[in-house]
Amino acid sequence: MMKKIFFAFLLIIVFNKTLFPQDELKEQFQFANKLYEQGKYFDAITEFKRLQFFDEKREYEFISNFLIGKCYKEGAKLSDAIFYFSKAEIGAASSQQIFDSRIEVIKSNILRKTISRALKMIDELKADERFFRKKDTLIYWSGWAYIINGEWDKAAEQFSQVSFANSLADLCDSIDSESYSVLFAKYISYIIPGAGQFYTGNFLSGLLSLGWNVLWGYTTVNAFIEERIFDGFAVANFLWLRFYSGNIQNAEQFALIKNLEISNKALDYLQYQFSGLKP
Amino acid sequence: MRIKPTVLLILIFFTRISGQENFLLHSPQKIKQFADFLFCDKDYLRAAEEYEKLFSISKVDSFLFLSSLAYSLSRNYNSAASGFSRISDLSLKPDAKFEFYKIKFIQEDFENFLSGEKDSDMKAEEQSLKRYLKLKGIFSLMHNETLNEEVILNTFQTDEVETIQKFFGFKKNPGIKSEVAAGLLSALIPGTGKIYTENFADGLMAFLSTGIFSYLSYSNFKAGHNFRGWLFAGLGGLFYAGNIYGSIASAQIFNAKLNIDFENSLKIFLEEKKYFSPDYGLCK
Amino acid sequence: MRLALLLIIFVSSACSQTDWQRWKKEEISYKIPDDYRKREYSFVSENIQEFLIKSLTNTYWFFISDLDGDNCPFHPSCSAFLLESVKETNILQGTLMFFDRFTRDMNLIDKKKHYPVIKNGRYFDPPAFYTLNSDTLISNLSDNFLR
Repeated sequence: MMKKIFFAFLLIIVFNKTLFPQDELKEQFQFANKLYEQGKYFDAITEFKRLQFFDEKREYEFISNFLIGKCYKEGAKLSDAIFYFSKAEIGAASSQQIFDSRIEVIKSNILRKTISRALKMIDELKADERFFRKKDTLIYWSGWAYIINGEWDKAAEQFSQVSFANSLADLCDSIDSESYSVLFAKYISYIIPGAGQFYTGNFLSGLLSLGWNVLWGYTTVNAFIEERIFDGFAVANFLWLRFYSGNIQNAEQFALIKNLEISNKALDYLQYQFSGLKP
Repeated sequence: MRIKPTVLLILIFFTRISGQENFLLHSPQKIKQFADFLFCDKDYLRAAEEYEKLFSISKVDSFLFLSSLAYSLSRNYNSAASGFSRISDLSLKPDAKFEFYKIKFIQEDFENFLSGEKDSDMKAEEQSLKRYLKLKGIFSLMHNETLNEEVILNTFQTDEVETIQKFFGFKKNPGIKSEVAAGLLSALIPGTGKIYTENFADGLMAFLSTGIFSYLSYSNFKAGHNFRGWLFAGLGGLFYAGNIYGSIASAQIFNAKLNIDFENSLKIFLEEKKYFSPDYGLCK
Repeated sequence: MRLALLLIIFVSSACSQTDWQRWKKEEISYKIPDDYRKREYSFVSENIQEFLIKSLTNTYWFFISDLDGDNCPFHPSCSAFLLESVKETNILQGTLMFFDRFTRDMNLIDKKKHYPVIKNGRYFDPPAFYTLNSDTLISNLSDNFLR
């Protein structure tokens, strides 16, 4: 009789690992993690939350919050991601975990294009003695912050300080030298209307700008020579000045647009073809 | 006592296959705990799905009610409405029906919303009916129905009455501007129609533009420049006519904004009052 | 630092519901958004008056507006406003709407108050507000003026 009861319990125990709460949690973690790996991020979050809810000893606090953050990041919900990475940091048990969660917050800020926030956090980490050996990683991510901001020169400067980012430094350098100088475009149009447009390859617009400025300049000067002072001021003020300032605005804008095209082409390459570490 | 192998098997079966994922954190009891937590943490969509799981296991209507409520709070109104309408438990029905009509109100499906008046399930409980009548009162205010102020005010609680009276005040004296008056004013003196609709600087500009072009036209005709005279007269005329048109439009915009403001304050009031939903006392 | 973290978490958890709908993986583009004003130069029109106005507008854009700088505080710009007005109503009404807009354009006071919505960095002022059709007015106003 006793033997049979004992046998029954033994069977239950053998078949049912989950009688031990720690194993239950482990199994739950594996289950949630599997969903995460399968790309079922919404459900993965539910299961990580379930794990947290029953994890009375908070053994999984860091990793579950960290992975919830990752899930939100995959869903492009960056503010939520940052919220959970910050929660992970609070539950971190080692300085490595603190560093990891902080880096994820920085990467999310880069993706969210809140670059100044990302750079400020990087500076804070650089000043932190605990992360003295992580300088290269920090410089690497500040390079990426500049990339996403389209500041290729600053990005190149950062990457050149890190041995493992030589190819990125070269890429940023080449994008920077390919870019047009906005100031140059603007200033040459101050001197010769339309010149900045020519510099950025907008020849027709440059010609038209030049044409209007010559026409109204001539009319103005002519009016003053013929002592039609009122006409001279009117034409200069309402026509010449308008087209002259329009010409400078255009030169600047064309350079900006060209640079945007160049930047976006490079960013597209970095997003889809570059195989190194990305935010 | 002899334990039969079948009993043993059932025992093992139940401990192992207690939830869909085969372990104890997914037992009905734990799902309930977790769902309650999610609900009170305002993670309503996840709570709704957990309650839905419970309902599909147990077929107990209170879980269907909770899941519908959570769907409603996460603004998944179609799932919520379909859940509320399936509830058959008599003790839950009046509340479920009220929630159903509330959703129809929010979705602006007013035909279904108004059919609530004939719904005997909801009328079975006084409180649900009262809440419904409050919504109906707001509906009448929104849609300019013939209003019996006293009857409507009676359905509201003392702390709500003051706001409702303000709404009635607006309905009685909305302060709208007449489009005809705006047009006529601008026809008489350019720009005054815009001033009437409280666009003061626009009015001044209209007066100036029409005035300047009229003067230019007059002085050119006087100097014998007939072409320029006609040109400025034409431009002045277009500014004049454009201003009359614009004054009418601006009165219309003024009135539309008044109405939108009114509707917005109604909406804010409704949101604050949670559309008169009771506090079901789920989260302490 | 810890205090700041707690503060972030406290503030964000005040509005803790974020997942209103089930969602899936979504790519975040690295690209910098292109907010520069683009002209629709096509001559595609439904009738002759629209074609005429479009040709005039295109000529104006090409020879003048694109070259004389950024002078219009509104979105859509005055010429685009004329074009859309004629499209939505008729040539007479569209012209009246245009002259009214022109008058409002000259007024430099209180624009922020009267045109609270910003689109493309400009005060949003579409023809739909001025067609005198109260239904389109109300639906457009309530979509755009969350006052």
